Amino acid sequence: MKPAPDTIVALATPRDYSGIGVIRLSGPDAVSLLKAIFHPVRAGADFADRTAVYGRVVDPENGKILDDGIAVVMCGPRSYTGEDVVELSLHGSPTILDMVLRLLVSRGARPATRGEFTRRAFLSGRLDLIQAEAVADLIEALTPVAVDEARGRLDRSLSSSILEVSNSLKTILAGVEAYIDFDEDELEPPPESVTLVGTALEAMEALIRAADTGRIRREGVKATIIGKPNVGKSTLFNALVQTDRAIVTPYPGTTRDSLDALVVLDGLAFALCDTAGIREHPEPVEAEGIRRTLLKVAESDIVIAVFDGSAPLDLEDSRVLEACASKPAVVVLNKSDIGTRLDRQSDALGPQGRPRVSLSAKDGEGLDLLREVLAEFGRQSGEIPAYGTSAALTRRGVLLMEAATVPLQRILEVAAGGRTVEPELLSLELRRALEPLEEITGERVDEGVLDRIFERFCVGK
Amino acid sequence: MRWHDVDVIVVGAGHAGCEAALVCARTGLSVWMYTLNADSIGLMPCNPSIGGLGKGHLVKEIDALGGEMGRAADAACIQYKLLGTSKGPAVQGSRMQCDRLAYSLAMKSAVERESNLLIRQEMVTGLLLDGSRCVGIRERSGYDVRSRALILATGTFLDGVVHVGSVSYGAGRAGEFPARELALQLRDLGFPWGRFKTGTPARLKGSTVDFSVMKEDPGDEVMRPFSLRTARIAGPRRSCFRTNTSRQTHEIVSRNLLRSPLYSGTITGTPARYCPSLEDKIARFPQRETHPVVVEPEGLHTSEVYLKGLGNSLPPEIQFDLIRSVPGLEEAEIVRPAYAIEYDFIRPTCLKVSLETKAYEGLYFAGQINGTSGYEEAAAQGLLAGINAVMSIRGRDPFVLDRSEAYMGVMVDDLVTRGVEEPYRMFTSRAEYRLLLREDNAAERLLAKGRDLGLIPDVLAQETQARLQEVESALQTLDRTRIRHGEEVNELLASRGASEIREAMPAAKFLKRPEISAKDLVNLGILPKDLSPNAVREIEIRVKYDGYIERQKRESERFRKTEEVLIPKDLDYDSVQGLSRELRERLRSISPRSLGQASRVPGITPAAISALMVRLRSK
Repeated sequence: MKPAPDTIVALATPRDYSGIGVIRLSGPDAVSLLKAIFHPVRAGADFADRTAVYGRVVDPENGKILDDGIAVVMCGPRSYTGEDVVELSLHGSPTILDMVLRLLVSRGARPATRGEFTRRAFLSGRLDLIQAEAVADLIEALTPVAVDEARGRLDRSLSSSILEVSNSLKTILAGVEAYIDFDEDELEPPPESVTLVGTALEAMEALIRAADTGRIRREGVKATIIGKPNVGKSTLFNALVQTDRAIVTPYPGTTRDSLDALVVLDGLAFALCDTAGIREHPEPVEAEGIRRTLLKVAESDIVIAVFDGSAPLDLEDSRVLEACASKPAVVVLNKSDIGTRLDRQSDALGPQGRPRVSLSAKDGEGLDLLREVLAEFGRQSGEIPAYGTSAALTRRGVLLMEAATVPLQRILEVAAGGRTVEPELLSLELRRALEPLEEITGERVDEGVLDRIFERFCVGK
Repeated sequence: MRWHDVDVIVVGAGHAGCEAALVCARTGLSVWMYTLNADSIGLMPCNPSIGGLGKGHLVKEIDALGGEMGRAADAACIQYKLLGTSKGPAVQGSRMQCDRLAYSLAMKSAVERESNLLIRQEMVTGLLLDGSRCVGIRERSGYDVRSRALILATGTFLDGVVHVGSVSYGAGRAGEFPARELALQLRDLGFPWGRFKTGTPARLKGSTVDFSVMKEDPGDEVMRPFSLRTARIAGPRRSCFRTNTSRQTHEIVSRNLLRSPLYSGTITGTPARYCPSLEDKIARFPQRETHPVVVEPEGLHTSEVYLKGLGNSLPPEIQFDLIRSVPGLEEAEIVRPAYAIEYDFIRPTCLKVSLETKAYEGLYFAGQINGTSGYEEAAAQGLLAGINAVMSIRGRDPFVLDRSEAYMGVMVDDLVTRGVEEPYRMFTSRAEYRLLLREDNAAERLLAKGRDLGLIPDVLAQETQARLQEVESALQTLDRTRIRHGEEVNELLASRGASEIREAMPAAKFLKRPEISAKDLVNLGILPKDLSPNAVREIEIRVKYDGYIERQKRESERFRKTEEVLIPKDLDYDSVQGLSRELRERLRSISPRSLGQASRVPGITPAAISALMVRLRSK
């Protein structure tokens, strides 16, 4: 068994009927595999680096022509993966593409695993880990703002902010180490180390804060619909999603678990969630549903609190108001088709600053106003943060960044207690803060993490 | 076995050579140690002190493995100081001012005590080679001596050139012959070599120095021996004296910068950035108005003093002026002028971790030849090269210390994995597990290994073990005993400006308070009165930094796991996918023995390591 550096192959476009389909090869034998099956039409044409060549795919066994198309060779190390890469554009027929793939595999190419092309790009140092993640997000982007956000990370705007932070920590560390290792008569103790640590910490915390807006741009605003049973939450959910996904019945308590759907409002995605109704004396299954509803509320960006506008507020409605007390919320007075018994201005409906919308989820009257309110909220939360980068940390990045702040906070705590931080411990904590930062960009990484990241990819990327 | 005259030949009798020769002789091998002058064995050609930050650690480690340096320093000690006490627990390092002559004599008599060790005063002009095996040396006279192992510890002698002002001449040290033929042979054999530069300041006639205007530094009251075999240091003491360069000094140096071979272009060897000459200090830091100068005693029976901080290679008449511009040195007379020296070093990446060359079996390099600087660094390598020559002759596996076990391990790993770009000095910041590699626990870390190698007598091992046991039981006592919130304790706290305690607490917790020291617990009668100062220090560190130490222990265990993933010697790096041609080449030339070592090869990315890991796993 010779585990030589192998050449991988995969279909880079969806396996479906289409105008063209692209087969991608990467590895040391990419070019020789191409030459074995692809005959340029123009005699004597060679496969010059980054030059399109028209020709025919021929089965070398029997000389049968399988298809014709265009081949481009991109020589390493300047290619996507850092290895020799070949892209073969053929007719977009799954049958033809399968035949050509089988031909390549029979001649020694190995079918690529998920994300293996990008993994090779990372391993050869063409991309850092932040960029590799951005590639996956770019492909999955739901909205133009999500594309922008992923683009920013792919262009290293986030990597460079992180590098800036880690460089500033390294500078402090260098000063501390120099002081430790040289005779005291040669150097002064580094006086502003603690102040500088504080500055670096602020930058890191700003990056963590900015991560929230990035997530919203990437994954959408998390909007949770809550209300007491039978106020029309699911009707509203369906009206916003414009499907019949939530089962609507006249019986209270029909939705026991939550339902999710994505809607795009004004170019920004909303992850809409319909929940079980909040009531005073629930049966056990319902009680579990309510517990989940409260969890959903806690992690949402905005709450859509629904009330029956045709009836006075009751005890259950005030539970609903309590549940969203600490969250940004829109107050919806539903059932305007039946009547309006509730005053839209009433102080009983919670803080006056919250937008209040009367509508009929059933007729669709007033729905546009709600959409506009939500879109405005989205625009504000997805705005580029003051820190100056449109790209933001992913969830993995936030966890690591938070881990990196812990040792720095310890330094500041000791200093705040009026004690001097021994240089040796200062150095230890700084090193500990640097490790997770290096993990974010992939300068330091373990296999398991890589597997998890590249699992997300489709085959062929 | 092939015919040979002696088991081991050691070329050079400095700090590396002596340790190498001694360790081989002590394990029963016959040794010839070559020197150009049998009167300058174990010489301190630069400052008359042993130890310091990072370096004191090395001396303690050498001692725990049965080396001689610590014992010789103790015998010659005329002042002791513990450095870095305010910097943290692990970086604290001992430094001794030594009587230069006494040190040299202590080392010479240690060498002479070994019955199967011969000091031979002759120049070695060539290596005898048999294929890829080194089989002996040729003396200048043409006489060949055959050996089973050869250790080169040639210091600054390989094609050494001394510079003073515009004058330069071949010399191994001021006044000694250089080893030119040997240097040329090593170059011809294809060893990758380079030129380094070092230097030493002037020595003055003591009676011409006005110490009264300088600040006296008598050192610490308590003198702690380096060696486990030294009961106590009793000899007379001498002080150091501090002064500073003046504005005039800086003017003299700036005006004459181009007359220094360092700036006229004569010297091309690379100097160490961390140990700049006076010319460099003044040219590179023009904003600094003054630099410290320390006048150190050279010994008890000589008045000569060493001028730390004034190393230079300016012409003698300028040296005279600049020295006299320093407060207290207005009337000073120079006994030995300062000089710079350039010499060949061999790039240590051509060595295995055993310090044996990859190219020739039986050939070992130790000390400055490997691009290091410093007595302690040299001695540590001499000891390790000697031990490994013994291991190889006895047909055993090489003796290797890893980075979490000893500063020696850190140094050797740095040398053979990363190589050197400037003279290499031991810094505590080079150690990832600094909190674990302390002076106070050197014996705990290494003594058992020294005993297993047959370098530490059983009696000493047992005695030391008993002392280590004292520390362990003291730590248990601290966990068990509760401090009562009585008057005595609260008065003590009040006198330190600390808040009182309101209820009883475990003594260990009490000791964690920043204002309390382990000595206080001795005074309170909780710890025994007869604990050694080293034990008290260890107890204090282990209690106060408990959390940090535990964390580093866990990290070092993780580290050791990748050290244990061995890379087969015959691994074909072409079969590792995802490695660039350049990285393949680099790994091939270093041929790391473990995945851990591979990860430290310069330029190797974590990505490259995971590629390597995949390849190793697929076997």
